[in-house]
Amino acid sequence: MRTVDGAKDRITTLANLIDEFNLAEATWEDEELSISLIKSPRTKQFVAAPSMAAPAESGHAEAEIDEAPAVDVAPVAPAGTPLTSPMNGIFYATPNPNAKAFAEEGSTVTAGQVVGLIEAMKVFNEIHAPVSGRVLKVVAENGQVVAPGDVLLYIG
Amino acid sequence: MISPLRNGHLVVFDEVHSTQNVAAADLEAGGDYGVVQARNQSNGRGRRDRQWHSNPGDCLLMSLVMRGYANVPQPHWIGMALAVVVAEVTDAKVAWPNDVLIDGKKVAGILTEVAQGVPIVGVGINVNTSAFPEDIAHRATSLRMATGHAWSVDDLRDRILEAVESFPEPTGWDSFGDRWMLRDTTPGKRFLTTEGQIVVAAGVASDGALLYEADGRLEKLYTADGLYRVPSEV
Repeated sequence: MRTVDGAKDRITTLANLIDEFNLAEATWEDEELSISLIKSPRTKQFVAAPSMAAPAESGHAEAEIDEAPAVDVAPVAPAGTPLTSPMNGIFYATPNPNAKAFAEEGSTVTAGQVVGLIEAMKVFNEIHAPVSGRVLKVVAENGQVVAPGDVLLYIG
Repeated sequence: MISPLRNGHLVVFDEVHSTQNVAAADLEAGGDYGVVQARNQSNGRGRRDRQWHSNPGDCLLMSLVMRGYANVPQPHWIGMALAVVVAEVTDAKVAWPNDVLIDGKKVAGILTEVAQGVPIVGVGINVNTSAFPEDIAHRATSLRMATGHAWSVDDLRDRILEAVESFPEPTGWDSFGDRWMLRDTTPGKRFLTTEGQIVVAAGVASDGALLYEADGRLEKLYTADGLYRVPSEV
């Protein structure tokens, strides 16, 4: 999923490359995003991670972000805080096979509450809600293989 | 490795539902149980609430409350380390992820759970069991059946806890992978994946995952059930 944060990461990467190799410009391109970062001749400084919402200040670097149509760049993600998997393993939404889910869509959870389990090497690791709020969407399915960074659910 | 007795004490019950549950309840209540042992369990559990069968006094049944490893990011290393400890003390083999085997049959099981951020490692060892139900006889053994003599359950407990204390810190594969490999029977063992596929293990990966070969490439599994040969296949 392409997000503003993802674009920021790439801009940071480009800025670091420009700095490390003393380049005039650097470009990132993939199917969804094209970013050109050009070091301004007016100053030797540049902004490492300019915000997409607030363009880089004049006199620093210019970040040109050519976005594909918005629907491709940022598929509509549920609002709220994503909870991502910290590890490889199998996601379980229930405490045991016959029990109710820890957190169903629409239910309210409090920060620190167990909202799922991830099994790795037969150890069941508790997954805790990072914030209090309503479960907006449960993305991971019961029994699904997950990897670090995969979104499990959204809380808002 | 930090012994559970360094900041907790040993408690022995005649019978409990599950030493894992007692240990977790004590932890939640702010108690100081370090090792919870039971002579008998009326509702012993394995992974995902599978039943653990034992006759009173025949097994070493204990849960180690590993307070020294609260909030470790990868608690599976502790369970795998305990499997090596038990295998070394009983001269047994290990198989991914933490089975302890003698002659290819399971002699001990390890169950690692996390409560209040603290790993609780359940250790169940068939010590003096003389026979198993027919449906598991081909894949279960006891120390007595394997060695031909009876063992003291409490001596075995003490030797395991001493061995825990002198074991390397289980920070990852680099810390005890050599000792695992000396006793590893994982390569060649068959496993059933959660998708119902049977794979033949190639070994254990450096992150603790099960390795198997598929179409000329090594793939990883993070959960799978070990399969045992039934007598007709031997």
